[in-house]
Amino acid sequence: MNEKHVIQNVQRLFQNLLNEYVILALLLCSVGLVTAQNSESKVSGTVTSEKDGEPLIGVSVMVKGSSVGTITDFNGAFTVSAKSGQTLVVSYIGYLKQEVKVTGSTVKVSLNEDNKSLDEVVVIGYGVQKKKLNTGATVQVKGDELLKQNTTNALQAMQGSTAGVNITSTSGQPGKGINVTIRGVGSINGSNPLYIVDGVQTGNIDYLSNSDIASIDILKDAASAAIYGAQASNGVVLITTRTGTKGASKISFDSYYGIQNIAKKVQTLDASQYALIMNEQAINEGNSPLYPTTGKAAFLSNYDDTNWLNSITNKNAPTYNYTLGMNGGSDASVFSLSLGVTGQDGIFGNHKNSSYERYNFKINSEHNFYNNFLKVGQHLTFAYTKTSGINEGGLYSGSPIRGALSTSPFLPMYDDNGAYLNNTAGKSTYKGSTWTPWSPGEANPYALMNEKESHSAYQKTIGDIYAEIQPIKNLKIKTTFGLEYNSNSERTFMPVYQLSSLTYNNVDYATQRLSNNLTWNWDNTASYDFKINEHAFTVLLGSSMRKYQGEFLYSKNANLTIADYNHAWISNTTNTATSALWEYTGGPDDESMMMSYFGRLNYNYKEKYMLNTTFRADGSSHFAPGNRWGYFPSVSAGWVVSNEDFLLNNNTVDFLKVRLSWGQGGNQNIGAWKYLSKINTANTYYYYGNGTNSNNLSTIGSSINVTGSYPSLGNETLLWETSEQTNFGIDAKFLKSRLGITLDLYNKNSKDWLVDAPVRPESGASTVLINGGDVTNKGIELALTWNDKLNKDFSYNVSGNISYNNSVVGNVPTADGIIAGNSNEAYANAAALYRKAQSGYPIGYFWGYKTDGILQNSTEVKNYVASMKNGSANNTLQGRNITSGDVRYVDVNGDGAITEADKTMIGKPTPDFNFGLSLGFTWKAFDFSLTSNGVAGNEIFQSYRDYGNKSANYTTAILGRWHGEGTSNELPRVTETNINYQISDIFIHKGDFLRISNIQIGYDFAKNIKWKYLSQFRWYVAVQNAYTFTSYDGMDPEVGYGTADTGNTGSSVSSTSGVDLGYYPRPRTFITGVSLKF
Amino acid sequence: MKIFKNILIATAGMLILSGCSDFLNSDPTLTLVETNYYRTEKDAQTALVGCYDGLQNIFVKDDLPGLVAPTIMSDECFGGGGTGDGKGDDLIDQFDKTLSPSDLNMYKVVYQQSYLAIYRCNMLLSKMDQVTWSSQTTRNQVEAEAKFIRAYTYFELVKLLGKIPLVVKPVTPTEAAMLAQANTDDIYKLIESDLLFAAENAQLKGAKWTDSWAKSNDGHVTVFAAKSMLARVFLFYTGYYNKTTLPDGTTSTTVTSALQEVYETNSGHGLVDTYKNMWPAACSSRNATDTITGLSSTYVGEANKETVWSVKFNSTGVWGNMDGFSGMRLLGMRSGTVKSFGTTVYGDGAWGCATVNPKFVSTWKTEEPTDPRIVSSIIDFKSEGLTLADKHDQREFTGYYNKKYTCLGNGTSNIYTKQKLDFQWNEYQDFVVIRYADVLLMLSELTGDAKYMNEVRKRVGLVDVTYSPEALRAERKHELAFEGIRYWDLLRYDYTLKYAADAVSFSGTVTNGYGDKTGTAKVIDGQKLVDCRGISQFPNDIISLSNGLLFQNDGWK
Repeated sequence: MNEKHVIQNVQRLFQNLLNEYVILALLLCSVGLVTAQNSESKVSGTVTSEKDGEPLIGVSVMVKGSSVGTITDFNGAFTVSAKSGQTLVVSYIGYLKQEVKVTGSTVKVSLNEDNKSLDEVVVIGYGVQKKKLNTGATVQVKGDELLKQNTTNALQAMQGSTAGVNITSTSGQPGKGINVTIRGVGSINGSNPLYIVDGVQTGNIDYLSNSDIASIDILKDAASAAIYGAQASNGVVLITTRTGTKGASKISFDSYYGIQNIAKKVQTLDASQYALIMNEQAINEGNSPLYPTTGKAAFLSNYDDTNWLNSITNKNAPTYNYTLGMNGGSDASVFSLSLGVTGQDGIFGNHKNSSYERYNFKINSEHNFYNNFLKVGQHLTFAYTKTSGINEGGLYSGSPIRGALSTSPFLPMYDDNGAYLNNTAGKSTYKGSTWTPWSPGEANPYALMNEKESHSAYQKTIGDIYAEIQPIKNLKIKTTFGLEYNSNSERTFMPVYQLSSLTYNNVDYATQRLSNNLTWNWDNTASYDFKINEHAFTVLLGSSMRKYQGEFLYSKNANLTIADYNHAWISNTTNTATSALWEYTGGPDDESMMMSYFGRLNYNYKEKYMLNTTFRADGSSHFAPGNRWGYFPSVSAGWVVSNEDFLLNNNTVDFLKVRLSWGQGGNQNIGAWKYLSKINTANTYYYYGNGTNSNNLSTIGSSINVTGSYPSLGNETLLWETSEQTNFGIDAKFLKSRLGITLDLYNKNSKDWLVDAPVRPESGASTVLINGGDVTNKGIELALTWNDKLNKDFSYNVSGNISYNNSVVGNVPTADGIIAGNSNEAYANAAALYRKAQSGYPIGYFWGYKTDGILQNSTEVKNYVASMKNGSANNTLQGRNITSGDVRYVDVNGDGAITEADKTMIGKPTPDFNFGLSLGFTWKAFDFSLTSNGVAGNEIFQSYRDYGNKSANYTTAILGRWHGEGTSNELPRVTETNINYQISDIFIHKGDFLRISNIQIGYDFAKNIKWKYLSQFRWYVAVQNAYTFTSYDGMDPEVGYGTADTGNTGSSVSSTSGVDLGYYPRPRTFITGVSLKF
Repeated sequence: MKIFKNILIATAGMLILSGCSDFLNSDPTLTLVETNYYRTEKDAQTALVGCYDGLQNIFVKDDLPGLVAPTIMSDECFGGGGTGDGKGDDLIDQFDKTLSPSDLNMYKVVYQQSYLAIYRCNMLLSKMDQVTWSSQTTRNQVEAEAKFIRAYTYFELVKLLGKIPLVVKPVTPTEAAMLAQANTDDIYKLIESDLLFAAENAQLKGAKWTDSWAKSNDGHVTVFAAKSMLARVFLFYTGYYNKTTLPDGTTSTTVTSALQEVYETNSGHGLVDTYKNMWPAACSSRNATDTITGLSSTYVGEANKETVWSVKFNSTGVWGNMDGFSGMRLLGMRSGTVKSFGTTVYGDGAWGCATVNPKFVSTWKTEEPTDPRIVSSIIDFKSEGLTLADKHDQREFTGYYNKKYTCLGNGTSNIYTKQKLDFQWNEYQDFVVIRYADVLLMLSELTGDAKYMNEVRKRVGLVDVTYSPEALRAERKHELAFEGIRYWDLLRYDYTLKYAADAVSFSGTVTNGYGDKTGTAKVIDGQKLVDCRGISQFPNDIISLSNGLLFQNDGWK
């Protein structure tokens, strides 16, 4: 029954569009005229919302062709002077304008919501554009949708809703960052997009509260992004914060509270299982068993049975948010302000050592002078963030999660005195006797996590002030001064403790770190819209200057006067004797400057044929004079097929646009002065003179020379990385706009990476930074939406998207075409588990031996050995001791020996497919929504155990090991060595998953409570991370962790991802919340 | 409209932002750049510190050079290590790449760091003319020290890896990419001329070594160090390559008279009275009280008169730039090996590499039964009453460890850890490259006169002997055991390498970790040493970087 209704709305919409300019012109003409209308008759009426029949407050009701008008009161009622036969123009923000002919003394108007109309506007670089005229590949997410996801980070809320944008948490720990990769990884120097918040560039948007965001627009193709030139190669994310709207001022209040728990726990061996495996391990090594056949219980009685993962788990960790917003305005000024508090505790650790708190304050305003001749406005956001986190990441980070997975259950938590047991021989009493370490050197991971206390605080102020004049109609000249100021502090207290002979801290100390940085930018643009007959043009010219500067100070010293966190300040430390305990450093950050000129020409003919072109010139201080300037062009074209006569009144196709674009963007992510050969004075010294130990040294030399690896030799010829992309896309709406389709195909070639190429060490350096290497990402993205309203009470929507990306590295500028990965990542002393780049492979792929099952019996062993060169067991990886139960490593190159040369690609961390599906409905006052997201075609490298340490605990997966012919063809026999755990596909797991990320049911009491000021009182319950469909046996298949590397940016870059070393999983959260608007 | 015009002009001005080309210029404030350096004598002195630091880095950034690898390759020690460790040390011990096929880059770091050190020396040497010097003597002294460091680095590298590229001035990456393997004679020519220059111009020219000089200058290259090093190079080159002179003609006579100057002209150097007092672990005992070091010791200190030259180490490093002797962490006894470390002066927690060859010990005991140097040089489980801990994972356990260079403990832990230092990075015992005892032994060898070696014997209470090559060789073996010298001696005694092959050949039993009740057979085939001419595996990564200009050594292909 509603189809007719929809058609009417669409027709009305088109009509409104046509009339809009006429009306505006008429209104403008009438300004200042004192009208002498005949006001004998009065018309009164009410305006309600078509959707729910609720009265609308503050609706403008104008008599068409006059300046007579009014606004509705709190009951939606109005009275206006109008004669029968005149037309009333009823308009309201967020609703479609309606015209009503006056036929009597009363009028009833119900307005339709203006959702997803074709007149949508998208944000593009330095401006906005009608979505239907956009010829690039962009995607927009509305703030309201982000708000509904109840995440502390807006990017996380976007997961699954943006085709071609791969969003992964780098950790499930509160406050940890989000990796955003747009259309595949384009560089080994990181692939983070450029973030622009209200025109101000910033490094991340962690500081933003979801409720402050009006929309996020992602520029995916080069043509859209190229106007950001040298920083656009990885795509651009444009964030628009909420601004005020004219009309009655409104207050909104959003809050939620939730409890978080681990969604899926990995099971480690308990003491009995562990004893069994350890015993078997010893026997397999030819050693004597740990206990006689009947003596297991007696053996176990010497030890504890600790579940370390449980010990570090924080149950029912809270998460909460309270945001108060106000906005409103008049013709002269509009404003929007908000105040918010967000907090989240970790599901590991406790509030003290894993938590996140953020306080946000935002005020945006705009002021109108001289009838729109001059507009002055500002954006300002301040965020104060407090975090503390448990260690995570690599093997040597001291991660309690990894510790909990690998510490033996035999180790007791406490000794007989109730103190953390010191796992050093003879140093603790346990069960009445002196403790003899089962596994010397292993340390209580719970204690390790709790001993240190560290908190950080970040303060960010970001905003801008702008002025725009419109000297002649449609010529807008705008100048913007923006800044971002960050102030960071961190303080750590480390007490004295001893947990094992290798894990101890002998002297208490404090560290204090302070830094601040300021970035300012000054942007100037002039844009002019004009029309020559049916040819419409918009010209934009602009310039931009940007400068980053900062400073830091760090100090560490020992021997606190009072050894606790509260007193852990450098001024309270007393050590003056031992220089090794005393660290200090401070200095300026490397400055970074950029200067840019840019321009854009948009053209369309009857909104049917579009041509857009941009050009940007960027100068960057990162490069040597002479190589500073880079030039980035783009061109794109579109054809609105549905505006052609043959489709104009088509019943099926409402809108159809095809578009084609090409453009170039750059990446200048290297540190400052890489073009100079620097002489390193820091840390280069040699002590001459006598001394029996470090405390007895005399002359302190200071040394100066070009050192080996860092900084590397300068290279004056360094240039930008460039990414070139072609995009073909289709946007369409069918079946009365109920079905929307967006399809994009792209080919992105990112080249001239800034690569540390290994050079012969005879040159005085191991590497030198050069331009070289490229990767091609090709892909396809499809997004479908379906919205329908079955009746007055029930409407529903379904949307889904899927994207495919294929990434292949072209050339790598090293002798062997390989940029190797780092070793010691999978476990201590393990070989590299990945390669950063190699021609013909994806970036950061997993690299190791292929295996072909387990050698089941001595015949298989014999045959395997016989297949080796000279039939020699020495040519197997296991060597002469190879036996049944060992892994059959594959001789990939067929040379009869298992060597490094047999290592090959065993997986890749980047998915082939990203997808998301969401659905929702509203029925009367109820609403329901479900969102999900997933990936397919990627692998995870799982390594929880340190295979160099024979006593490390296993997960229960090891119970399925080979322990006799036919018992397993996947997991080798247990041994005390790592011979069956050389880097191979044994560690590789499928990474596909589909996560039901949010299920929500809400009820809006405002629909029943007839309080005139209240427009929304929605109460809802939600489950986040409700369920994950996956075959992965880890705690979370969304493993954003990669290996930490210092990239050429000088900051940390991950060259791979999907490495699960005991990854902090995302919690499952039950949330309840309210949203109030009044 | 005039106002609009003005606004337009102002806007155009804003857009152009003229005169801002300086905006993009900046200079680093925390670092110096090559162009504004090497001007003053102070610059040169600090650059020289950079050369020493580069030398130190070779030993800091890798465990093997100088001491560990040669003791493993020689008949003194096995590979050792943990049962779960890689078998790289076995590969070194047995000259057999099949023992650990994936270890293709055992000496990559050594190679890299050596050339980085050489680069620093070359850089300084190439800038000598642009420095304003206070005197020619100072200039020569700086030049001599840089040349000595370059010569020593090359000498160590050429012995280890054979044909290596020769770089005598700073080269760019492009120039470096074109470097091929040099003729070893050309490398020795450079070493020869560098040492000859250093022998005449280094520190203590015309002066004596004194305690007070050493107090603040120990570590600096002296003319005595250069003369002694020249003799060592001479003996190795002529022995290993079967020559009579160094490639540029330096004769035995020249070398002998240079050594005589260290000896006869009363250089100030001499033998320390008590042998064991040169080695911290050998001369220390546990204190009753648990003090910082926890040890009472008769150690003579690093800059003693017997130290002709050493590479210095400290515990003052910071993460990323350590300055301790990394090889020590390998040599210390393996964590959890001794049942009760608390009763010893040895540190717990080290890696237990280079376990001492029992044949070496038993031969010594036969050759010189009363030699007190045995106790000073070797940790002997049995005679020191040590017992193996349960569940230890020491591979190739023999009951013996190197005592001269081992981690120290004080009853509960490493003395380093007691000082809040990580023993892995902060082993501050210097690596004594040349002792005066070696000078004496070389003098005997060059002159055939036993009087010098008898001074060495006399110190440890042994009776005089008459000179014979075998007596001299035995004396060197005992006096200089576990100091990284023996292996090179073995190679040079007989250029056919039969002597060395016989010495390193081994057939016997070792214990591989807890539970290896019966012991494991161990065989070293000396022929493997002959096959590779005693030269080690060239780092494969460097070969692949060289675009076919560098080649793998024989025996490792």
